[in-house]
Amino acid sequence: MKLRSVVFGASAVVAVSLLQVNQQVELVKASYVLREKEKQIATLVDRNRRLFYNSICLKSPVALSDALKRRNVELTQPDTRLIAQVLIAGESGKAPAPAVEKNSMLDLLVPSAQAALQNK
Amino acid sequence: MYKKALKIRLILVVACYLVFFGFILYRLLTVQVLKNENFVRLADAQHYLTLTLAPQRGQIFDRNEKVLAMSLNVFSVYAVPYEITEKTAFAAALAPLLRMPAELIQKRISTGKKFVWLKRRIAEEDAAHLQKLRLPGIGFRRESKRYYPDGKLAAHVIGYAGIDDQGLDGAELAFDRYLKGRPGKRSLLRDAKQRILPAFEQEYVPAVDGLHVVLTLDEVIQHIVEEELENYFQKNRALAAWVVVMNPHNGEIYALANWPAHDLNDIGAAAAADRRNKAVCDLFEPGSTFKIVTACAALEERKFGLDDVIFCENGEYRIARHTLHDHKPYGNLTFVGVIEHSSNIGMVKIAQKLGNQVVYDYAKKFGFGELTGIDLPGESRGIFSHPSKWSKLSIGAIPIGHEVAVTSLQMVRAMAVIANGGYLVRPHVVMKIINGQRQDIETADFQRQRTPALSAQTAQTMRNILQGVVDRGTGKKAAIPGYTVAGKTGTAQKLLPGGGYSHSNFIASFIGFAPADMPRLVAAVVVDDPKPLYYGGLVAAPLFKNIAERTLKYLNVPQQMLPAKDAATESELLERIVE
Repeated sequence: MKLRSVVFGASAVVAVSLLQVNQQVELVKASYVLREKEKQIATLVDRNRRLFYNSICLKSPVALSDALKRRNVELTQPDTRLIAQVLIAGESGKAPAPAVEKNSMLDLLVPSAQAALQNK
Repeated sequence: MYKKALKIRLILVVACYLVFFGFILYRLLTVQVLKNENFVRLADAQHYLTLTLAPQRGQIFDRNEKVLAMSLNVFSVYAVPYEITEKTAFAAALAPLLRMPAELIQKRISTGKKFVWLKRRIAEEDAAHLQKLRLPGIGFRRESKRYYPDGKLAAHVIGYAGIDDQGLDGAELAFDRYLKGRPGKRSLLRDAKQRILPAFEQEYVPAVDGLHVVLTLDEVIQHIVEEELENYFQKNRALAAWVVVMNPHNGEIYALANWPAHDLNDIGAAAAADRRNKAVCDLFEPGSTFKIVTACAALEERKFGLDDVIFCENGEYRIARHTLHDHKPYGNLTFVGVIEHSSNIGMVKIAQKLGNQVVYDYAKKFGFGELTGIDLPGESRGIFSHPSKWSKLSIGAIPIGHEVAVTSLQMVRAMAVIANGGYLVRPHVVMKIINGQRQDIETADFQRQRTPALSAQTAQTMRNILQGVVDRGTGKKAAIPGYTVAGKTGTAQKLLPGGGYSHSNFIASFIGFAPADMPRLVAAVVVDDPKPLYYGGLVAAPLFKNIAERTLKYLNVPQQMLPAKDAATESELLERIVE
């Protein structure tokens, strides 16, 4: 009787110990996985920031200005009087022709003038 | 006998055991008790690794929250010399990728150290190539590097950060305490092979990233200014030039540019002289632009009326054994005419009637001889001595902008007094400090730092007079079609190193604001030693015109009606358009 309880007790202790060791091992495994995930996240965040930086470089006025110069494009600010010209022309009844509406995807495949005829 | 010998042997054996175990006990006591702390410390150093978590440096934005400076993580390469067996081959393999001489690499890895940096913050592509090589004895550490998307834009205002992410100049230095953040700490357990066991983290203090700084600069206006400076220098010669564009009502600086500029992403290539923020640091004699001070004093003190006539001695005036000249021989000029035509003699006569102390007091009211308090490093306060130190000639020099040294920041602030109705404002470049969630942490409240300097009536009168300078006087080339402009030209002889003034080297300047009746911007344009033209009205005024015109249109400032004499032309134009 006494021997049985000793064996039983010892078995319980061993089982619990094994469980505890297993838990520690799983913890260590999980921590390695977490560490790898953290590294991946850090890499992705870095890549995101780098892409963001590249995008703001492209949008900077210096880059845009250089791009326009390379293409020999010169932008001018419209004179207020030129804008008034369009408004006045509109009010006098000599408004420019309205824009052609594209009502279906097929209109995108044909020139604008043909699309206008089709819509009429 | 036998028993006696046995007894002696027994005693010897026991004594040997006692000595042996006594020694063991002594060592145990020494290690576990007496030197316990030392060994615990050594063990901790072996078992635990404390990593410093570097914070992300805060970003710098313009007033529209467009990024002007940000940090990216890049790799820095280090070597562990004792793990490298073939040092020569190692150095030869790395030299082209690191763009360093092989001899230098070999020298670094030949030291007896466990860790040496090979190169800090290398390009991402180079790091990728190096990682593919999988060379033993080489390692990579992730570090932060500062990048400036616009390169040269606002270089002197933004400044730059050093290799350890510390601010070294400009806003990076001035606001380093906000930008740098706070490092964190991570204490990790290591196994016998020095491999980290992440599950047994002892301590974790997260890093606190730096706050972000929002400047008052407008990226577009800054670009306009720098582009116009670039255009000017493509066609003309000068030593340098600098421009300040400011909101006259609250001191917010929209743009501050120096030429030559430098690329913040390659700061090592810039000469030290070019990195200096001349608009804030450099002193120059302002010349005729300083006449606004004397003129304001005369009006405020009611010593002169607008139509009072002053005889300008036909271009030559003797004062304290020196002869003062005008650029043209004028006879009688009204008070307004003296300013419009920038007569030195006329202005000196006005100053003589005011007296030394009044001229001094008003110059002080306009902020000369004092720091403006701009939130950038290296500001000069200028040179403006007390009347007790003036000579008999000083009254013939100071009112026309000689014998006094100013910065263009002081000049633009002085002109802002006239533009905003009589208040001395504090120029500043920071608008607010924000956190990562774009919440305001600190907001600059410079509205309260407006000091009354002039009455509104005098300011209004001066605005009208300075508008005349542009309409009819020396500043015609600053006129902008559709807008009213007011300002003052300046052409000051440069001081020679040995004393006296040069007859061939000048500082050309134009300080003005637009629109004249409801100013939206005030700007100072200064060109150092321009060639071949050197008059302020011919060099600086056209630059001001180009900058102000583009800026006003960008700010959507509505164009004002043309003067009545052009009304017929306007209606004819409209008729033709309608037809």
